[in-house]
Amino acid sequence: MKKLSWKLAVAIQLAVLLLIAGSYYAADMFGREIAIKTKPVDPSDILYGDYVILNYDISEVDTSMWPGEWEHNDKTVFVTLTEKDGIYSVKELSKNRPDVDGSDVVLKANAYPSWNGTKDTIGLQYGLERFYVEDNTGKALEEKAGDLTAIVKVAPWGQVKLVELKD
Amino acid sequence: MNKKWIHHEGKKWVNEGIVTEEQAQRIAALYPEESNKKITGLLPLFGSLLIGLSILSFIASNWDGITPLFRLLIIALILVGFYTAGERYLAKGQKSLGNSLIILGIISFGAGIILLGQTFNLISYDARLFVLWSLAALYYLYREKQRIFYLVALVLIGYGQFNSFSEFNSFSYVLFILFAAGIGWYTYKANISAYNWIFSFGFSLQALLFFIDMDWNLFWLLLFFTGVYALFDLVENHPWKRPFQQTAVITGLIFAYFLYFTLTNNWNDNLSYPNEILYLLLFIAASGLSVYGKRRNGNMLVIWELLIFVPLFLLTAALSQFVTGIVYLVMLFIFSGLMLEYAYKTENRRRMNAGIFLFLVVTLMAYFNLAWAFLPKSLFFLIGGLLLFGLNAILQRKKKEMLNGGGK
Repeated sequence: MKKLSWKLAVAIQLAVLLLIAGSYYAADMFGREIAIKTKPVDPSDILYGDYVILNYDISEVDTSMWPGEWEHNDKTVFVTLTEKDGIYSVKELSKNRPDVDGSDVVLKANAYPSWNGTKDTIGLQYGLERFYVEDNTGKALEEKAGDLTAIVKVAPWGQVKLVELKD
Repeated sequence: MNKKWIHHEGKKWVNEGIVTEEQAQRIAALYPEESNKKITGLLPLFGSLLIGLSILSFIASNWDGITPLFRLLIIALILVGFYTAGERYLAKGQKSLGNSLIILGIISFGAGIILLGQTFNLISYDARLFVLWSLAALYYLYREKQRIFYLVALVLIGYGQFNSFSEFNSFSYVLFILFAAGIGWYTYKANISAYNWIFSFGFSLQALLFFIDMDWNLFWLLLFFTGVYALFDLVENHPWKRPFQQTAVITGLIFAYFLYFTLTNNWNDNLSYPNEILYLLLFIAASGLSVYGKRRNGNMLVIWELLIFVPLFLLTAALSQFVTGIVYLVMLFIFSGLMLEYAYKTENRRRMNAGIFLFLVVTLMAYFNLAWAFLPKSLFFLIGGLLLFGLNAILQRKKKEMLNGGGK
């Protein structure tokens, strides 16, 4: 019994690791490809050892876009993105996952109170804000990180994967 | 206990005629030889740590050149390797080596998730990493029932909650359930005093994070602890009663200190207070419950502990902030005095020390806060030092008198 149970426990842990890897390969295969623009990040030193922090055009929206009254306790929001000239931008925010058609896609985001220098805004985190780089290659990327196009795969089950960064 | 010590003391007992030579040897025989065991038990642990580190650093330095699938394979091999080796040693009865290898297995599971995350540019904005990670530790805690797994599970859950709070500004309910149910149930079953205390402290910290996350006025947290305190008055003699009630009292003390400093220094002009009437009603209900429980279970001697929860901050409705702050100071003096009186009455040495400590701290706090501005600094420190020496001497003498002349 004991013998069986530890093997099962190890098997579950392996399955978790496989699932993480597998879901990202699956997102690659079945996901829809979208492109979003990056913009400069507030802290000037964005290279944190092995990754570069990324900020996108879609990372900040006006508080008026929030469905209803903007409450700081509401953290999860669904962001509908729409395409124009090959680049996606924010169309609307909603509290429940909306049905979309055409080229629109929906990303789940983590909302937090932000400030754009003149007024309160809503910051949105998609899980796309880090790009891991090989040792010592981050510097070159850091300098142009504010003006890149990110290629992202959006899987039908909502998972997102940052595939690559283009000039 | 050290066997050497028993041999040494045993000779004295024989010389004093308390036990015979034979009895002393029999007593000593009750305790196993363990002087070398501790240190040799640690060696495999360090050995496995070093080997683990060497593997990790080797992989890390070559990591960039490895394809994602191969990375996954390496992580899986390391994980299975550590667990299999650990289980083998456990089956052989080599506990410390087996446990250390299994801990390396648990570490490689979490490290594996993190490394895969980096490989796939994955970031999660919740505590799922620590949820999965601590589940592995909880599994071994329940199976092996070893202190080290309690520690590992506690650290993973606690750090996970802290991390979720500081990185994602959110309280993880799943981690709280793992703490309350996973750690809590084990603590309940094991019934070891240290675990009970650790659990009650952990519970209080999680409650604090929860209240902050909910954006609730923190005064409600004080009421929450008043309620916890009162609820444990209803049970007669549960092993959790003292840890939870004392943790609640300590929380009350922290609130009182904070309010005293804030109010007397006008640090926060518009401290926002909860709804006065609602708070007062709920406080009366909670303290009524507490008094009822104390009467029923014969705990009326410690009824003074309720004083720390009294919402004196409501006085700001009628008094100035400064005066309310002073009321808190007076309350703290009375509270530590009552604690000392209780300790003298029951000859409870630990409470005596706690009471003396509290009394000295309150005195020093009042002195620093109120006399700092008026006295030249050298005189200030001199008087402060003398004050503490004097008070300490009086209180310690009183303590000795009580403990020695108890019969009178």
